[in-house]
Amino acid sequence: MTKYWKDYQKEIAEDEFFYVRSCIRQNFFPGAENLFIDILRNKLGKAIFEDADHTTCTGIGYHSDIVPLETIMTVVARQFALMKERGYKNMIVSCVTSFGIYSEILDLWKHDPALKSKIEGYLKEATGRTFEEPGNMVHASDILYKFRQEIAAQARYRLVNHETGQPLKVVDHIGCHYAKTFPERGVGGAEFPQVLTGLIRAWGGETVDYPERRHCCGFGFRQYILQPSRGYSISHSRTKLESMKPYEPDLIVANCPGCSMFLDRWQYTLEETDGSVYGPANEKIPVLTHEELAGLVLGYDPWEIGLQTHQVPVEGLLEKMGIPYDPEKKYTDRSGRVIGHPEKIHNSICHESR
Amino acid sequence: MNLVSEGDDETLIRIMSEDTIWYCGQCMSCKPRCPRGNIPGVVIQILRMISQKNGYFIHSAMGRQQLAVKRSIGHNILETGYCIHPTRVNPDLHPEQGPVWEWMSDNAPEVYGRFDKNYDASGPGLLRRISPESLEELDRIFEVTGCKNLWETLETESEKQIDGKFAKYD
Repeated sequence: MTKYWKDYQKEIAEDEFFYVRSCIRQNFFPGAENLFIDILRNKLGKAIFEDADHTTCTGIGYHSDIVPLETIMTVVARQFALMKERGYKNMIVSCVTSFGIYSEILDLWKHDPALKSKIEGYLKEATGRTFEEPGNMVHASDILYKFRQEIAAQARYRLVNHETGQPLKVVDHIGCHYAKTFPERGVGGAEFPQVLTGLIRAWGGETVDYPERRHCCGFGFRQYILQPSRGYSISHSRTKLESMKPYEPDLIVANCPGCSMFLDRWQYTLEETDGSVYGPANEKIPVLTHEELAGLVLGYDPWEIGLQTHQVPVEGLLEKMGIPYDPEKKYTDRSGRVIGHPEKIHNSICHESR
Repeated sequence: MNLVSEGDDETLIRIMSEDTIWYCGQCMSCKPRCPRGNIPGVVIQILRMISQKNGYFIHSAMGRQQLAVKRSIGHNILETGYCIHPTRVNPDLHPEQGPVWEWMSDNAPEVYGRFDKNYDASGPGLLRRISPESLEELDRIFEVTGCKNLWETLETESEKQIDGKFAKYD
């Protein structure tokens, strides 16, 4: 490895992790985080701990400007305090927005120790707690990148069309806050992110390069939250989808829960709005999170990891990969009871609606 | 960036009273593109915060929308411990979320409960109920660090009358 490429690597701890969840991922991809925890514990043999007392980092409020910097710093300091109290030093962050914020806070404290002291005072006054900075702080996708070959060795399915033997064409979408502000904290930096392409290639797929590959999904925080400016959000996703369409991707994978949600949901909205469809054969493009991608490769049941909560149906992808699934178990509760079906899913690859 | 770096108070107040600063989506794609290593998105964050603390935001239609953000995301945080929660993303206000979200929202205990027995219950896990003690700590942090003052300013300034019209936005 050349000196220059080493600059694009980052340190990722080996074991003994403290895990903080994501608001968006829990809401919209409810199977993903428990899947990640299960993979670490039961496939990779790692220790990972989740503290019931951790809360939102308040990141959506921070980037929509109703939570001041000192407030979010103190909330994050509280998460660090919980980690210290439980005896952990290695933090895994599920959310990319949170990961960017944690990176920003650690960088600000590094350059301004007085600010860190001020936050220590706020945390003590508000909660009585004290904290230490993590020894290692990474995003959840970094962990899967680090152990991608171990996962490949246990793979039951590959990112390959099982009928043709051709690798699936996979779009990687990296959340902006993963490395655009602090490139040294992302595998591959801001310009050459490897964190998802590493997974795709290790698991048999082919990555898709397209002109708007590094364009934002369009979340925009307040722009999506407020109905009058929601067009900002959909127009960005549309820019990306139109740009990737000529390459006929089989799949999009994203490490940011917001990006995963928008690239999934806006495909529905765009089809409803003007009939636009961006995948091959006039089908929408399934969107998976990094955990869900690993889960499919490792042979988890698609409905047990939450793929029925995606607006774009995944059945076509499952069939390409040769993954069996039971349509009767898609919309059931924990006991197996059917709990009704979503209305009017128009995608041609959703077999039950045709 | 140039206008901000010039530091002219009159110009800065004008900028903070107009819509333009509220257009940014905070993606921070400006950082890797800036040849001088600046982060315009962070400068915009600072302008927005000063605009709110000093009441300039009520002079712009987009600025006045901050009250709605405070009353949705802000209240979610202190009342649930999450920025967003399945019970607070109303499908009627989010038609773009589609029928799958409507199904999830209508059947939240069954859908989320499939993936974690601790949904909306105590202990660790998916969308666990955040304990009263943790919510109290969050509330104290918001008090001590000045967020509550900011929110009070958003409420009181939004009640003011601007150019003969009420600026209240909800």
